[in-house]
Amino acid sequence: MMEKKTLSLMKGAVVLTVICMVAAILLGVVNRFAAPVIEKAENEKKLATLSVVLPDAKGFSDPLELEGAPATVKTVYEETSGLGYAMLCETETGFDTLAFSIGITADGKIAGLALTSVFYSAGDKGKEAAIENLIDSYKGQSDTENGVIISGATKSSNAMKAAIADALDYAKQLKEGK
Amino acid sequence: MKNNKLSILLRGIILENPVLVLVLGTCPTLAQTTSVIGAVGMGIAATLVLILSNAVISALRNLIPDTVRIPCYIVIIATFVTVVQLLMHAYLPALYEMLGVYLALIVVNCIILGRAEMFARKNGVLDSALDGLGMGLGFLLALFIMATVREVLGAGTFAGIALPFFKTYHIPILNQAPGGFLVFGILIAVMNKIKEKDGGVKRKSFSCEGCPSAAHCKKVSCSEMSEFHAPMAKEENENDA
Repeated sequence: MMEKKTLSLMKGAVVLTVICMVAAILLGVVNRFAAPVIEKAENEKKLATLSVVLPDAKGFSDPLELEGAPATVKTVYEETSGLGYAMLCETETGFDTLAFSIGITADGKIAGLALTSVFYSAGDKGKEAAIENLIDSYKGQSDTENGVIISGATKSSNAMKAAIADALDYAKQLKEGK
Repeated sequence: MKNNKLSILLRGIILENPVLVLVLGTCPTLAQTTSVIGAVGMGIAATLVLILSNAVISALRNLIPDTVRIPCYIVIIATFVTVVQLLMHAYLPALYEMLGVYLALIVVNCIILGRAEMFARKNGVLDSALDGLGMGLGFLLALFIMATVREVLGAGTFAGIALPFFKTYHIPILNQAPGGFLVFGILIAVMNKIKEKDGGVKRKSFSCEGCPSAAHCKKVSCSEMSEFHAPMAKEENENDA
């Protein structure tokens, strides 16, 4: 009786393991085809946001090597005609990772800001308007003093403010290092 | 034979519509019906997963022991959902972003697990695939109707295209959660009315069919249960009359 029960349990374990292995192989095969396409699309999306944050840009260099960059600055591109820098930044909000791109002109002012990940529920018109307001508050500024903090997204807004300050500092470093 | 296959296919679309009759898959129904494009995308994704998981579960039904059948079903369903998710992320990124977390949540959509448990594990591969297709089309149809009502009346657009009169006179609450429940309730009422003409909503039978505990119920046989409940049901019907 006991043996029968053990055999039944073992059969169940073996069947489940085999199904998991087949599932893993299938997912691996699909991922092999899908992953490069996803990566390419993500990169194109990132590059598209660079033109949004530096609207007059004529082109961008390959990503610069980051020496002494703050942890929040992930990738930096230099505008080819010397207009400034476009940076991809990420910061921890305490809930999740907030990603945005920022364009900084050669004279150290913020030319544009675009979120590549959002910290509001899709369709929440109130939060969308608040984020528009936040982005507008940084445009043309050379520091973060007047940056807006969104009510209900205080931690995210503060994390973003700190990351923008990091980006401005790093842009200054890059210019001085030239 | 042909009629039988056709009835399996058609059953899920109207008579046993998973959303409006069985009231399954309510979460994605309410969340994804603010836009027609999102609703159609969700419906197609769920249909694909339903067909594939039903077919595979049916094919493996004699190999999967009863004790581990639910974990096995979940692994199979999750695999197909992830495949659909990866392909959609790669080739339909806009739709992927629109569906967001609800795409991954198809894994726990009770229509899919429900059909695996109630149909696929008792029927052949072709019948199960047809059942998946019918249920998926029923889900898609319900989502499309509900999204059309909510998007046109709630936002004044259809599939993102502005409609002249409705754009000016729309009812924004229909695009919010309370509006979703309201439209959902109205559509269920309409479906009940349609079914009333077709002999009304059937009373719950006391047979094993459709009982989620049927596989484990060893205390009382189904025939005994039917005999036990039959006089009660008869008495109840007489009282109602």
